[in-house]
Amino acid sequence: MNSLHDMAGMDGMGPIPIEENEPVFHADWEKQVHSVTRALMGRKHFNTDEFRHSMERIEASRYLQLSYYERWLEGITTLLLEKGVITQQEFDTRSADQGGGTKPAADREMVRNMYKIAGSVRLRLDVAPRFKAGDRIVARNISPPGHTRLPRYIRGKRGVVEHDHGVFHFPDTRVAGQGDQPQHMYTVGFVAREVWGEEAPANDSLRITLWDDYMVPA
Amino acid sequence: MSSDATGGPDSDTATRIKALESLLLEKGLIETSAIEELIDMFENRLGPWNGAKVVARAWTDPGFKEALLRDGTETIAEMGFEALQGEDMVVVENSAEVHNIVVCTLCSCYPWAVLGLPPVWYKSAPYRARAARDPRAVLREFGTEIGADTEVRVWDSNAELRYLVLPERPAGTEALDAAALAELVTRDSMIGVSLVAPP
Repeated sequence: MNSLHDMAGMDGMGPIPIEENEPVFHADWEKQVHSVTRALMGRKHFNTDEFRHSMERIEASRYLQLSYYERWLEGITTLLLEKGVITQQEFDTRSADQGGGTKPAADREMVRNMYKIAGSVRLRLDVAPRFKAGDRIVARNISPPGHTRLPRYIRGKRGVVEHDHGVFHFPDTRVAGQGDQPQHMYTVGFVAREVWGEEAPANDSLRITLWDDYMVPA
Repeated sequence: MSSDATGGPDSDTATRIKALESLLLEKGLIETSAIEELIDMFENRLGPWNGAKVVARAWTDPGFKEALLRDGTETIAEMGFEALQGEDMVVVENSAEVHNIVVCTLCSCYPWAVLGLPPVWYKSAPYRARAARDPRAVLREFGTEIGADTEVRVWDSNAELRYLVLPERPAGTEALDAAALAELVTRDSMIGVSLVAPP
């Protein structure tokens, strides 16, 4: 969706808030929001793509007003209500009317295991790639109403495939309830002038990851 | 309301997460031990000191560096850091020809295993909005000037790939071992917004 989260290239956001000796968290409630979110994801109450989409759906007028972890809290609350993990009544009254369903509780052991299985989410599936390194491509010009990882600034731009990373799930369909639609994912290079115009330095460039469904041959 | 720059504290937000957490505890969906473990991990165990060890080893061990640039995920995993699934690591090397800088324009994707949680500025709207389009101006805000002859290469972390910048080893460090070199490597240099300063 073309919401405010897709902000690359925009002006008017102010100076970069650089903080010396910044703590990992700025308040206890931030620790709680972060940890509750990770714990719920560990038990697969929602996945990364759904979580991102829940924050992309925050109204633009509020998106910038909310701090980072306030957006997280808003996102997980939306998902827990939508998925029926909690009810509005329970949230309003701060009191559980029913049990949590069939998923086991997230506990210390689950967290330790979550971080033991680190590594790739590449899918070991035999799917033919539609592109190879060296291919000239155009990023598709699409405006899907749901979740996508194809930012506006790269749509319609011409680039060159540099590396095939293998097969991954496709975020757009995964959030839309249309399955993983496994496909190849590539690093694609663009010269800065192609993306941002002639005032960009001639030498500079950008790399972004594109799935098969985000590209057509140039 | 709190600002994007500081991230709180906000009494209403603090009340809401407290209520949500207690509701989830009451429903048996989470246990306090999971929350404690996660806080300890992100406050104390994951951080840029891990990435600094990777960089220092790459500077001192050519075989390791070659493997790191070829397969970041496997090579970093062998160093035994805790990490979360979904972090395919790609290591990009700075040189006289190319300066790399990393941003996640759509959200806040960041290599937790080697750098921990990102700083506020990395997640902020101004960095996300400007790093891809005008990286040289952003670099100047961090006090970093990259010569016109050097290509500035932006990596938009929009997928399940996580980037670690391998900065250039500063001059005058020939006598230092990996442990001493790791002390010089900053978080910002591994995101690509600054260079590693000589000792």
